[in-house]
Amino acid sequence: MFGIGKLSDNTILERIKQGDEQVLVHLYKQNYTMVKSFILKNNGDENVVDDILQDSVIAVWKNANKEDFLLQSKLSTYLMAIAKNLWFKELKKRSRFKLVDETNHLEKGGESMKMQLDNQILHTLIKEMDDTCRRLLSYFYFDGLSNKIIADKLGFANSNTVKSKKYQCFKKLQNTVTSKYRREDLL
Amino acid sequence: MNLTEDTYHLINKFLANKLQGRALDKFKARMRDEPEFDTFVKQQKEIINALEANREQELKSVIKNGLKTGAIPMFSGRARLALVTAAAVTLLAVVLFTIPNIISPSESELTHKENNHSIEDPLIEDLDFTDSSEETQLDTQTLAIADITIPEDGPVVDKIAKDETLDSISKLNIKSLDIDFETKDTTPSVELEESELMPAKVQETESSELEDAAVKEETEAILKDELLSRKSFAVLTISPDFNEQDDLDAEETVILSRSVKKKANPVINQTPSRNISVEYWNSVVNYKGYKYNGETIKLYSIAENSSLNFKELDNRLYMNLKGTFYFLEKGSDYKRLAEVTSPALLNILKE
Repeated sequence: MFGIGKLSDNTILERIKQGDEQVLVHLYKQNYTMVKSFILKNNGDENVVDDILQDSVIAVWKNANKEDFLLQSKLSTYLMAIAKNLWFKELKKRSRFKLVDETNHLEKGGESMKMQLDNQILHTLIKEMDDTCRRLLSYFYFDGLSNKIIADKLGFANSNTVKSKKYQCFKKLQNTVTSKYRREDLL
Repeated sequence: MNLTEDTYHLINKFLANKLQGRALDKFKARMRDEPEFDTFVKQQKEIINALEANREQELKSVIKNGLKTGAIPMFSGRARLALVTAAAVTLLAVVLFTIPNIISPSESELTHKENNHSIEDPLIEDLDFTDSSEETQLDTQTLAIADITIPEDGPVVDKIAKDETLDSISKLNIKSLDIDFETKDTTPSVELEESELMPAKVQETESSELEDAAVKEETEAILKDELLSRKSFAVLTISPDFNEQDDLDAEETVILSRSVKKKANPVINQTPSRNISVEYWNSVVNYKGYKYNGETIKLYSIAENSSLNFKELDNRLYMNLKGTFYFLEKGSDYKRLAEVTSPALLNILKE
């Protein structure tokens, strides 16, 4: 898709704004060695490199779509800073996890099982949604795209149409959720 | 109760932390007083979380699938270079050690005889430079073959040579790997931030370290802002006549007093006082703004052919860009263009 050569930071940012998801693969590969080396040097192993790098690349994707995003360093530097934070956060989490006693963990087991189930239910319903609705809501909530950009991407007349369509899609999803499952199950 | 469109957008604003002040208090009070509304908020949050998680999974699948297809090799620029170098060295080594073996010992002996040289003392042969250049070349070639084909020393020399080559290749590889790891940052004791998503402005210390590491990546091109052109403009100084001096201090009040004066004294003097140099820059990050040091204005991401003129009022510089006035603040920082909105000031500037 991109060939062997590297893409410039500007090109990558431009492609992110255009919603070209393949650029994520490029970002991943371009920064793999650097992130891997850092994690290995800081008590990590190869198994976590993939997760950390994926999360970092997705964070760049989300941030780059924000209206007030201004890159003040090289993109690889920025991504590396995110990866570092994520990895240190993970290390912190791991050290906290060791302190949790087993009994406490078991008590919470049932609760987390229920939450997992609820998430699965919601994920299934989201996947069953109409494609345009799912993309619209994802672009708005996850990618943080403005109504205008969403209108351009999905071919709506204007941002007002996006606004009302967004409500309709959400309402539809909410109705499906409430009709299939009791509301309190989800809370 | 049904979720209306207004309620939906209001909850969205609340969940995105965009509600502030009284609106936020009102919203919280409503959550407290209306259990059903509270349920809507929680449910909406839950659905949004699921939508976000779903999208994240989608993007992760894109990455995974992209990696499977392997459109781009997994090697970084340096690793690729190291591999190519290693391959080239290996090839060279193979070529060097294969060619002599192709030529059989009988052939080498024949060559010796043809050149009428004694093979009893190869060292003397080697030092004999009195022959013509062609003969000398033939001699050294023959000697090299003779050295390798001597039964006792031959295999040892061959082995050592091969070992050395392998050693040099492995050294090269190790060196390449070392460089790979050296370029990476080692800052294990950095204070953590709770926010997962980094702000665009990376902490200065961390950024500089990372910059250093990243700069070492030899294949990456560093883009810099580019100066497109430079022009000189005359600055018109506006100097209305003031007879009275009120105790008004703010810009607005001065302007207002001036506009009042304008009625009595409609002539406002506009004289070119000085020239100012304007540089048009192309920003690599599409930054749109300026930097003004008192003499030169650097304009970023502004077209060179845009109509432009400058006016100065009370030692404050204003730029007219395509009919819109902007106040230019003197300083060493990059600034965004600040549009003049005061109608009174605009009246004076548009004179």
